[in-house]
Amino acid sequence: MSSFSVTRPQINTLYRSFIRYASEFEDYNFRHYFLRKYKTEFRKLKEENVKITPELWNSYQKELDVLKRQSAISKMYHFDRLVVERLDEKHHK
Amino acid sequence: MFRQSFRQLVRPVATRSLIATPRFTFPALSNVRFLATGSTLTKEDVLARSISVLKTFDIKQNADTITPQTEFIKDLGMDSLDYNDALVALEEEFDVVFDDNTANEIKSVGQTVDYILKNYLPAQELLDKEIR
Amino acid sequence: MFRSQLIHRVLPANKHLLNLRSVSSTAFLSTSQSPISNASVKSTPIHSAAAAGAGAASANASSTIPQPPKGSSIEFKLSKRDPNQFGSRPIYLDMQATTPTDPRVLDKMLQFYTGLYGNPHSSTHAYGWETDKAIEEARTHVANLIHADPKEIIFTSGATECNNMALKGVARFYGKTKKHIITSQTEHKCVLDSCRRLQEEGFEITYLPVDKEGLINMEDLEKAIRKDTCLVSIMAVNNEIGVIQPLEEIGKLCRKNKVFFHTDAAQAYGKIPIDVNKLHIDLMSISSHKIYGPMGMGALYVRRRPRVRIEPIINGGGQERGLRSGTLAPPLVAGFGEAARLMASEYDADHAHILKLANKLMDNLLSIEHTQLNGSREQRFPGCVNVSFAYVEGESLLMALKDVALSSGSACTSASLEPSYVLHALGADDALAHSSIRFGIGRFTTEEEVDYVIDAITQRVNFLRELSPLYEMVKEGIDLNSIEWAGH
Repeated sequence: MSSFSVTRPQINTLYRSFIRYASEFEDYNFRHYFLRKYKTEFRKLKEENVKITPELWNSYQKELDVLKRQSAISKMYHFDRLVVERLDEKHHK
Repeated sequence: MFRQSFRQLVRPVATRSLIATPRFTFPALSNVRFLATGSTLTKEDVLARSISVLKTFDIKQNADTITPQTEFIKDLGMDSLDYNDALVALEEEFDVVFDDNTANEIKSVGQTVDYILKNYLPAQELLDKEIR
Repeated sequence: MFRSQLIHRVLPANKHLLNLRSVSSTAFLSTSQSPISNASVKSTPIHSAAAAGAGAASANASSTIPQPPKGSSIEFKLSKRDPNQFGSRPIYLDMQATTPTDPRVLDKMLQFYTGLYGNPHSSTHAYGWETDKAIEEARTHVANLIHADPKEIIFTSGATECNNMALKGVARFYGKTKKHIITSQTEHKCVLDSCRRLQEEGFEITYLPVDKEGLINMEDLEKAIRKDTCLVSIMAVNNEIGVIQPLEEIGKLCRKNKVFFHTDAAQAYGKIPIDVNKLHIDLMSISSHKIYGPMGMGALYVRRRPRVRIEPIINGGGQERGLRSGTLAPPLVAGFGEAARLMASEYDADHAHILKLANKLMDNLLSIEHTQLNGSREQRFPGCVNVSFAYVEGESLLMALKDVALSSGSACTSASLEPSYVLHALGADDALAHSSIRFGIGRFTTEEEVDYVIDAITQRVNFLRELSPLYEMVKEGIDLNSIEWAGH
């Protein structure tokens, strides 16, 4: 396992996928939570120069799968938007 | 990526716990999208809308002075994470998805504009194709 | 409906003619005795004047949100925003009642509704083995969060069942020689009600008072412990005011006196650090839906060394070490386990986030005049902020707040319109208890929501106070205590 290494573009792609799926949640609170979570986590990984172990990489892949499924499910059930949500708002931010 | 149009379809009749058909999950549809080139957007439109998206980010340069040559990292002072946030925001704005290779190589605003122009599919055409 | 009565009473606010009893604190209790029927309130011109005066728009007919009783709400336009551009669903700030199910929890649960449907107690085939394995994994996650052994976790239907099981179970097992139980006045209804039941069975119960901070006094507890005391049951975090009882001291005292210590940790589990060994906890009630897990699920921690024996309430096939028979529900158990795992892995991030938002909310609300925080400022779980707004009736404030989901206290008692017994125990009078609102902040609350709530509350408190003749008198410098209230 000593040969395991993750390149910066791979991390960027992973990060982009998290942000993409997180912002696809229809639910305002879940969307903002997952955006906040992954932005904070990847910022920390970058600033502290954390070494990506195979375990960490695999667990991120699993989390990404969960996010992919759950953001899709979130889009299947519609509820009114919250009073803090603009009706014309795009999800990013 | 179909969210916008999908929502337009569903919203007017959406009630509190309406179960909508998960149409957007059909993989074949997303292939259709990439083949299409029938864009009705002009380069100027895309640039202007891109700039208004970039305005919502914490950038080094006055957003009004952004040109196609402006580079995300060098000129706007973004790091790789900010840049990817911006890219996803642009994806949402235009309902496109940057493929991984392109996304990892793009440097300037102009490159995103070109990619968007090439891959953008207007909502109405998208609906037509979906219905067919 | 209650609120509109209030408005009706308050609005003819010529204070010389005012029927003072109708705004005195006792009147808040007396909706049923009110001479004004609801029907008459609705047709009262005064009330529509109130609505117009509030700048109220008519309720959005297309809204799908269940509406409060007609005529009972005041709508406000926040000056900064155009309501037509925003959604209509209220902000959820009632995290002590229940929490939204985390999508990661749901993801775990869905496996069991789509493929893993075996009975975990079927030991003859793979379908049973796979769900059994999932249940044991969940048990480990639930145990790890409180440094317990997985064998000490008994799955139940929720914290209410746990509290019943702990109190009645211990009492009935040791009841031949030990007939005394100690609890506190601010416990959850299900603990108090179980105690009442045990009293009927011949047990003696001591209900410890709390100080104005909401904390029990250790000397009181020490004095209350007798030779025949079998159990002390004190909640970890109060559901209404969020105060944390001195668990470690209670645990030590109980262990020294060889009395079992049960704590209702429904609001505490996963939200404050708990080590059952360090705190000498013998039994602990845990709820799943307070930690972003599924409803209808809970667990009772029952210590094995030194062993705590309990008489089961539910008998049957002998599942859960014979203490709680009945087929386990793998989707709920696995969801609960995942929720517990996430409470551990997200603890630091959640805690920092909740603390930041709660402090912002608390500071801003307390900067409104005549407000106070209920319960201890230091010994508290930050995600539960209970504030009293003097000269405002809490229920009317809640009714005026269609856009924020809040509660004036426990979900179990808020329907009754009784003032909170918890706040009474802190020494609050009816008026204060009635003017209190609980704000619950959780993992999924955003700063934007908190900002909105601060604005909305500030605006509405000011508005309702303008209607209040009491507040008018206060502003004129009249000491309310010097007034003699006329009775009927």
